[in-house]
Parts: sequence; structure tokens; C-alpha cells
Amino acid sequence: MPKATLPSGLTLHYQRAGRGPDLVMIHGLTGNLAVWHLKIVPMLADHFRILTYDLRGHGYSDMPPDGYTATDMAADLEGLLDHLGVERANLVGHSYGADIALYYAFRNPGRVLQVGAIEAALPALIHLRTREDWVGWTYWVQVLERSGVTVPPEHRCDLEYMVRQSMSIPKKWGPLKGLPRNPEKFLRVLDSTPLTRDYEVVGDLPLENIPRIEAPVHLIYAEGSAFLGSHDYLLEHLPNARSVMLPSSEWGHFGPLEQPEVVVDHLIESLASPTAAGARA
Amino acid sequence: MPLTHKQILDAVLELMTELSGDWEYSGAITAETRLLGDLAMDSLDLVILGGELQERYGQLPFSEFLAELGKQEAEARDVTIGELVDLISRQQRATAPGGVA
Repeated sequence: MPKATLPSGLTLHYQRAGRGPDLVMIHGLTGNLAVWHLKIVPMLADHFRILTYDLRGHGYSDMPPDGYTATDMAADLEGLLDHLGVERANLVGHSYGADIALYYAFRNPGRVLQVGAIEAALPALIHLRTREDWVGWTYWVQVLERSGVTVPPEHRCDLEYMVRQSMSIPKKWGPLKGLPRNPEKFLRVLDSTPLTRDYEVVGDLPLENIPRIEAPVHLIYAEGSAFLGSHDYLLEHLPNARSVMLPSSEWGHFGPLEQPEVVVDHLIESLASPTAAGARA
Repeated sequence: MPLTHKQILDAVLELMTELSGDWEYSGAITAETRLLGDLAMDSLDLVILGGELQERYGQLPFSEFLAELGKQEAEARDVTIGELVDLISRQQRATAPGGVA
């Protein structure tokens, strides 16, 4: 399988498909590049030359002992694009992948055509999600409890606990839907790296730097998503952003898996025209 | 001229043996080997396999193949390497000159 060893020594697994302008797709925490390939890549392959890759610690990429902040991950992406000779690209990320796309766009303004940020959260907006009354915790507990996992009150706002418990519920999407997860590798990254702590490290993109992201950004969120607080903040503070609302869905946060056809329609419409994000929605 | 079923099977077995190092599977791989039950392939492995096969044999209806797999009852869900070779073979015949797509 194709792998790139970066000057940092890190080796990343990647896949390429399609023809057209460059489009890089970045998965989120606990995921891997398959998130994009099950439905979305085949539908976009006639429109873009697509690059997907496994983040460090995920899929078939290396799992170094540290370096899991969004700043680190954006540097990995820069190294990968240098290695592959991709000078300018559209970026589409989901969740932490969307955060990484925004970090990369901040650091590399000349190398980003447009950004599709699906359910971006952003470490600098962690205060929106750490409060006990954040609706995301309630949604998450409900999902686990529907699958027979009881969440004790003291862990209802505990990110690492919730992620670990989520590994015990059957797969929800794709060809292995309904089958047990194989969490061994993901539990290894939780056990042996600072991933969940690094996830909250603000690094390059404190709130004051958000207005300095020059690239057009399409903010793609589901109606009723627990991450709409980040959507609203970014729409107000990014200089060149527009809002794209997906219909409400069961989990809300997992658009690329829950409603891939709708996501694809929006990406084709949003990214096909270089001026599409010029005006706010 | 399309490749024969045997030629495709031999090449796919060779590919699977090569990839099995990454999948931490050390048993013999044959046409009867099951992708899920024996090789414990995950979605990511299926995606990688699909990419490798399409690099060798051109466009395949692999997403449709995965979607069909996902519709099988969870308890009985599986596919053998032989069945995967059938898919490639059918596609080769369909796209060959004079073939019926």
C-alpha cells in the first residue's frame, strides 16, 4: 500500500483516486481514510484528483509516542503534500480533520484553494464543549445507552472514557455495519499516546488567529448538530466563510457516513467554482 | 482478450499473500479464504484491497460490491477470495471488446 516517509521520519499511509483539481480529504479522531472511500471518493472521482491519508496514530500510518495536536497534524499534512508534489489543493476535513484543514490553511495561505470544514470543532472553542450542559454529551450518552452501555454520571463529560466506551458498540456504517469493532489499534493509540490531551491543545490557532485564515471556507454542519456553536463562531469570525446546512440526522456529527450523497452534492457545488465562497450565505 | 479466471485467481492470491503481512495473517490463502471470517479484514483493508485491484484490473464496481456485502445478515456476512475473483472476471468480460456491460 502506498506510504510516504516525511523528513520528520514519520510514515503516513495514503490513497489517491480520480482526475481534476487536487482535493485532500482528512478524517477525524477514531477514523481512517476508509471514511471517505466507502461512498464519497467514488462519487467525486470524476471531479477531483483526490488524496486521502491516515492521520498519525490511525489506520496504517505510524503511531509515534507524541505529536497529536492539530498544529502537529497540519505539519504532517504539509510534509505529505511536499512529498507528493501537491502545491495547491482544496481541503475537506471531518471533525478533527476539519480542524486540521483550518490549521493548515492558516499556516499555508498560498497553498489552499478552498476548505470544506465538515463539523469542525476547534481546540480554541473547547469551552463550548467542556461544559456539563453541552448537548453533545447528552447525544453521546444516548447513543451509548441505546447500544446497552451504561455511562456513570461521573463520566458523562469525560472525553477519553466516552471514546473508549464507543469502541464497544457495533459498527454503524459501511460494509461491516452491525459487526463488532476491532478496537485494538485505536485503544493502543489511547493507551500509548497523549491523543486525547493533544486534541485540546490550541497551538497555532487561538481565537485571535481565526480571522487571519484567508482561504474560502465552507462550513458544513448538520441541522441540530452538537457542534453548531463552533459553526456560529467561525461564520462570524472567518473573513471568507459561508454556511452549508445538511438535513438533521440521527447522529448529526457524522455527515460523511450518515448522508454521503448530500455531502458530495455540496462539495461539488461548493468547490467546483473558485468564487463560490466569495459571499456569505 | 480478457484474462482467464485462473489467471486472475493466481494474481489475486499473490496480491493477498503480499498484503497479508500488513493484516497480521499467517495462514495459507486460497480461493476459499474468507475476507472477514479468516482474514478479519476491516473497512480500511477492504478499501485498500479495492484500490489495489482497480490499479491492476481497471474500474470495478467495488463500492457496489461493498454495499451489497453490507446488506447481508451480520451473522452470515462474508465473501471469499474466489467470489471476489468472480467479480473481476465478470467485469473483464463485460468491458472486453464485444463484451456486454
